[in-house]
Parts: sequence; C-alpha cells; structure tokens
Amino acid sequence: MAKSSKFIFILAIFITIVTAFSAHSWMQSEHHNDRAIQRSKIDPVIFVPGSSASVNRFDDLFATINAKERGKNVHSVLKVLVKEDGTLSYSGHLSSENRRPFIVVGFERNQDNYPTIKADGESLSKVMTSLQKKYYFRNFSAVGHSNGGLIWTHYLENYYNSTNFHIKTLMTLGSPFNFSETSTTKRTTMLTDMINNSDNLPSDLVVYSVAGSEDYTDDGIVPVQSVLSGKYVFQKSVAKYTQTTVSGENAQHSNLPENPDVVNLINELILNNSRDKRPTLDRSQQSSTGNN
Amino acid sequence: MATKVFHKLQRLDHAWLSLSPIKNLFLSFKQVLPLVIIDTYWRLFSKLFLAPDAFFTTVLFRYHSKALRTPFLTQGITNILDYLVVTFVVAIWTKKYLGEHLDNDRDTLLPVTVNFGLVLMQAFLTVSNQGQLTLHMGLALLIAYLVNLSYLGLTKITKNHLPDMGFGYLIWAALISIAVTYLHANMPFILSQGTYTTFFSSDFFAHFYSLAIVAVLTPILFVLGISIPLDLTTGATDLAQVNANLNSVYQSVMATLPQPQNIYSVITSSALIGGVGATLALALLLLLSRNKENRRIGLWTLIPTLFDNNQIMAYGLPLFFRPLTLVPMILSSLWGSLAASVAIKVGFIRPVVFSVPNGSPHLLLGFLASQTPWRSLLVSFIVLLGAICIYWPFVKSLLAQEENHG
Repeated sequence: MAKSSKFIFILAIFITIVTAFSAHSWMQSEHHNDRAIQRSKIDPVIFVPGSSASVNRFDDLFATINAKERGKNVHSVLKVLVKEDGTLSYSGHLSSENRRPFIVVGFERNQDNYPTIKADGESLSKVMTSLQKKYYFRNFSAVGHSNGGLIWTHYLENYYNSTNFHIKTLMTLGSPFNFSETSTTKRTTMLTDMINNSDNLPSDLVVYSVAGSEDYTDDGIVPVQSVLSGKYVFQKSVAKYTQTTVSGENAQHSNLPENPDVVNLINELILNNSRDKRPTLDRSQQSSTGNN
Repeated sequence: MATKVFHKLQRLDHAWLSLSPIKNLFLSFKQVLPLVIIDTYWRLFSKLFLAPDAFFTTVLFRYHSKALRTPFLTQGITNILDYLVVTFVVAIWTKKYLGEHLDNDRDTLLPVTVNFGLVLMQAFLTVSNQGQLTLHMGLALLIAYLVNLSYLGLTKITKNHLPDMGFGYLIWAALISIAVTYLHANMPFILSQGTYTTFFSSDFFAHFYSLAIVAVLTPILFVLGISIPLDLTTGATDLAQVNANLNSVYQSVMATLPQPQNIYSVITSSALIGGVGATLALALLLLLSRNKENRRIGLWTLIPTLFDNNQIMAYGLPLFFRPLTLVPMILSSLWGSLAASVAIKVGFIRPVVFSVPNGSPHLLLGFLASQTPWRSLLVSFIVLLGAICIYWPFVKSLLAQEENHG
C-alpha cells in the first residue's frame, strides 16, 4: 500500500472512531430524553392570553378550578413570559406529581394585529420546545383567550410537529378569527391565511370555540360572527369542531375566562377529558356542532 | 459459469466504452472531476460543520452556533456546485461529441451554449415553493443527447451549408429551447420530488423481498443518473415503520418491534454503506490500486465515501452508465440487505430504530441507533468485508482495462 494510501486509511479509521464515540454519547443523552417524553404522564393544559393581557390573566380561573378540586389534585401553575427580545422568563412551578398542570404562556409583545399574532405564534413554538426539554411531556391541551386562540391556530398551522407533540383539545374563548368584521363574506387576510393553511391542522384535534354574547351581536368587544368564522378554519380539517355561545352577565369579552359556563366547559371538556360527555350548560346554548 | 458471465460482462463493458457518445461522456466526466471534488468536499464540510443540523455542531456542542447558522448560503452554494457539475458535463460532452461528428471548421459554440443553458434552466426549475426538487443527471443527459442528434440532423439535411450562427441554427436553438422548457415545466411533480415518504411508509416495504427489490433497483437508478430518494439515503425516521418501532421501544425497552424489517433498518444501514451500491468497499480497494490515477480517486473519495457520498468515484471511475461496475453495485447492495435481514430475522441484532444526528455514516448506523450496538457494528463490518470480496474481481478487471488503455 502506498504511503499516501496508508495515511488516508489511518485518517479514515481515526475519523470513524471519533464520529462513533461522539455520536454515541449524544445518542445516549438524547434518547434518554426522548424516552422520558414519550413515557411522560404529564398532560398539561397550556393557556395563552389575548392582546394586552399579562400572564396573570387566568389567575381567577385557576383559583376557581382549584377551589372546586377542594385540595385534591390541585393544578400547579407555571407561567412563561416571552419578552420583547425573545428571552423567556419562568415563574411559578410545575409539579411532577400533578398530571394536569396549568401553564400560561404570555407575551410582552401583545398588540392587537396580525403581524404580532404571527410573531407570537412563532415564539410559542420556541416556548413549546423549551417546555418539552424541561418537563418531558408530549400530550397537551390548549386554551386561548381572545387573540390567544388566534396565536394557537397560527402555531398549529405553521409550527406544530406531530412527531414531537400531541395536542388533544384546543378551546378558544372569544377568539376573533375575522378580527372586528361582522360580515362573514368579508374575510380579513388573517382569516384567509388560516383557511388556506388549515390542511396543516392536526386531523385528530378536537376544537371548541366559545363565543360570548352580551346582546346577540357581540361580547362587548368581539363580534359573535367573527368568532363563528372559526368554522371555516376548523370544520373540515379537524376531528371535531364545536361552537358554543355563552350569554348573560359574565359573557363580556374580558370576563369570558371567569364565566361559570366557561369554567364548566374547561372542567368537563378538557380536565376530565370527557369527549363523549356533554358539558352541563346552565345559561349557555349549543349553537352548532360540526363533525368531520 | 461465473467466469463465463464475468468475461461476457467484460466484453460488453469494452464494447460499451467504445461507443462514441459513451466514450465522450466518460471523458467529460473525467474533465469535471476537480469540480466534483470541490462539490463533494464542500458538501461534506457543510454536512459536518456548517448546516443548521450539522453533525459535529450537534454532537459536540449540542447547540447550533448562530454564527454558523447560514442554511440559505450553505445550501445555495451546494446547489450551485451541483448544477455546475451537470451543466459542465453536458457542455463538454456536447463539444466533444459534435466535434467528432462535424467538420473541423464547424463551430459548436451555439449547441454547447444551448445545452449549457437548458441544463441550467432545468436546475433552476427545481427550486420551487414546494422545496428543493431533484435534478436528474440522466434526464439532463438524455435531453442533451436528443438536442445533439437534432443539431446533427439539421446539419446533415442542410448539407452543412448553414452558417454557424445563421438564422437556421438560431431558429433551431429557439425551437429546441421552447420545447425543452415546455416539457420540463410540465413534467409531473412526482418525477422531481426528493422524498416519497408516504410511498416508502407503506406496509409493502416491511418485508425482505420488497426490500431486496429496492436494494437491486437503487444502484440501477443511480447508475442511470436518476437521483435516489432522500428517504433511502438520509435515514429518514419519519417513515411510518420506523415511527411504529420507535414508539414500541419507548413504551417498553425490549418490546417486540412491529416492523423490524424496513427501509431504515435494512437498506439505509446495510445496503448503502458508503452510498448507493455499498461503495465504501470499492473506495478501500481503490487505495490498493497500482494505477496512480485510480489510487488518486481512492485517496480523494475515501473520507467522503465514509460519509456516504460516492460522487468522486461516480464521475472519476466512472460508476455512472457503466455495466462493469453496476453488477458489483447491485450484488453488494443485495448482500448488505440480505445480511441485515437475516441478522434481524434470527435475532442476532435488533434493528436500527433511533434517529441519529444528521450526517452520521451509514457504517455506524447499527452501532448508534440499534439496541445491540456492538453486534450491529459487527454485522456492518461483515457487510463491508463481503462487499470488498464482491468488488475485488471487478476492480481487478477495471484496473487491467485502464492499464491496457495506458
């Protein structure tokens, strides 16, 4: 064998050994994590507040739910704030003994416009990856209040990867899929984009869209028609899409998360995961159900 | 019997090489070899260090350096180099082939430029909003060959009277360009997509016989200049069978895997060691060659081939359009898949199931991604050894041919 051949042969053996052992050590740690994620029993409910709302937006809702639990299975609460510069700030804790912990993901950049929703959808994807690395979960459910529901939809259509995550249920509370448009024939760019990308939505997803109605037309801020436009996005793309309208005094847009019917819906449809069980609705009406 | 077949194959290869288009094509391959080497090493460097999911940045630093995160730039340079290789092959081939068939005073600049431009056009048409599509060299060469034949035909019909850049040839160039652009633009998407995940995820590809068909077809397509789907070459763990296996392993470590034989565990990890045709064996044999030119190819190709890129050999020997090397490529590929299949079947190894860092050599897939790392490594080396034995007589014949040709 010529000298040059010997040299390149030895170099190849050296590279093979370096490659083998560096990749082997990487595989060991990486698959330990993967296995932990896959076997994880944690199934968090992740909440995203709407525009101009802080990570404390759901505190009252959590207090109500935890009070009902009367000490058993109290849901621990973790809050993640995405700052303007993209860094994440964590507060609260996530108890590993708690199978259904609550996580709130809030954004410092939270203006009411489409570019912000898109940017927050992208940030949400980074938060999800970061959360998964920390807490090893795969299954989760999502709740979005107002624009929070739009951020979830944007995330699910553009960033969600079913190999890494499995979303079971999405509940949107007063999410204006057509912004402030009252007409269903006039579609905003956002609604058009969401309809166009709806094929990317997970096909086994169950979606509940809750609208508030103060005076039959809106919840004080968001037109009911705009919330109901969500059907154009979800109805033919997900496993089950249900629209519900809650009315009465607590149906004002900002109060929706504290509305007793909404609390019931979250309790029964998400926390008890009773997909086949109808929620107990005292003051609400089932407006339409679309099964695909 | 085997010797008889082998001698027949040698004669066929010899006759094939003496055909004018083939002889000129192989000369063109040799001429673009420096560019192929640059392309191959750039690819290797980018796969190991520059790409966002580069091997060493992933396994050593466990994060992706922002400074190195330039996917558009690295991918852009790779694409340009890939395109240039094919365009230059076509241009040089056109020049040589037409030069041989035309009068000495005939200037071939126009057909050379037309072919060069048409390949570039085909290359740029592969960049679409559906992601990077595939440029098949075989198709580009077939089109160029037809273009050349039409040029020769026109020259013959007009009894060589038309001026080189006269109206006649210009109209020919325009018509040819329109026809090729139209054909290429209307080519079914299925022919140019780079991955066929749904297709390879079907249950059909979870049995030895279907995998053996893949093992045989892969070298044939490669030799014909058809790009091999990324599902086979990159260890695509998004195949349904691989996912099903992975889920089982995560639920229970030593679970019985639902689909132990699949593209990833049989083809990628064993039939493609060193690229299509298990050519790592061939690269090692070339190092032993006494012929300086072939040894040099071996020196250049060994490290990239270790990382499963055999382009330097494909153009340098060449492997493309060569009956003599196609046979051992098919046999080695088949041997690799058979060895892995049997080893899995008898329970000697557990199949490759985990996803590995991008760019990991196929030689190490068993070691890295199976639950029996050392046994799988042993099987990989047995496959390599077997492939060396398969290639050996063919390499000897190849080298003898080279020496005879001087």
